[in-house]
Amino acid sequence: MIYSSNFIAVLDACVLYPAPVRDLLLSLSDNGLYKPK
Amino acid sequence: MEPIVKRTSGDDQRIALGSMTRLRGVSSKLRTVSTPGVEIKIQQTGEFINIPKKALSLLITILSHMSEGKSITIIPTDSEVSTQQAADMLNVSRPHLVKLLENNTIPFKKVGSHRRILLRDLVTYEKSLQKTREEKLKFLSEQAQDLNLGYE
Repeated sequence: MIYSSNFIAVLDACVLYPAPVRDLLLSLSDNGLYKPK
Repeated sequence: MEPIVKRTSGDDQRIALGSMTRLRGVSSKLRTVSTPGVEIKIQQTGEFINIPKKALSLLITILSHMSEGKSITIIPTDSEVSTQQAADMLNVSRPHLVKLLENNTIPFKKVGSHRRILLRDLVTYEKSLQKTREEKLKFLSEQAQDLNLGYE
């Protein structure tokens, strides 16, 4: 099995409203750890 | 020149994981050596091969991508791509890319009726996208902290 860092995650609105969670999740995706959809 | 595409298998990934860290260590030691080339020994045939230092740093990049399980494509920077290829690289639809070309966001030239885009320009565009995204995100998180939205 190939381990690939090409993860896709669906971000629901409930993680986008509390600002600290949103900032963490979006900066992680910005660094290419996963793809937000 | 045609792009070279290599798909990474599970075995490749394991090998790359092991050799990458060692190669990194070797290359940091080589930084003090002033010659433009380095000698590589192929153990199986006992031959020495002289390769440019730049090729060695490329090899490290290839290995680090392989160890993450990613497939590799090598394309010369001055090569030109079609609108469909460019759209695939940026992960956008072809009509969206054409829109970017039409409003002069990405420079292009026409070969007959076909649009051609320099790979260099594509990379520049992607970097500028990345930069704006970073700035906006920084602004957003700073604003949230100033307004105390959940940050205590």
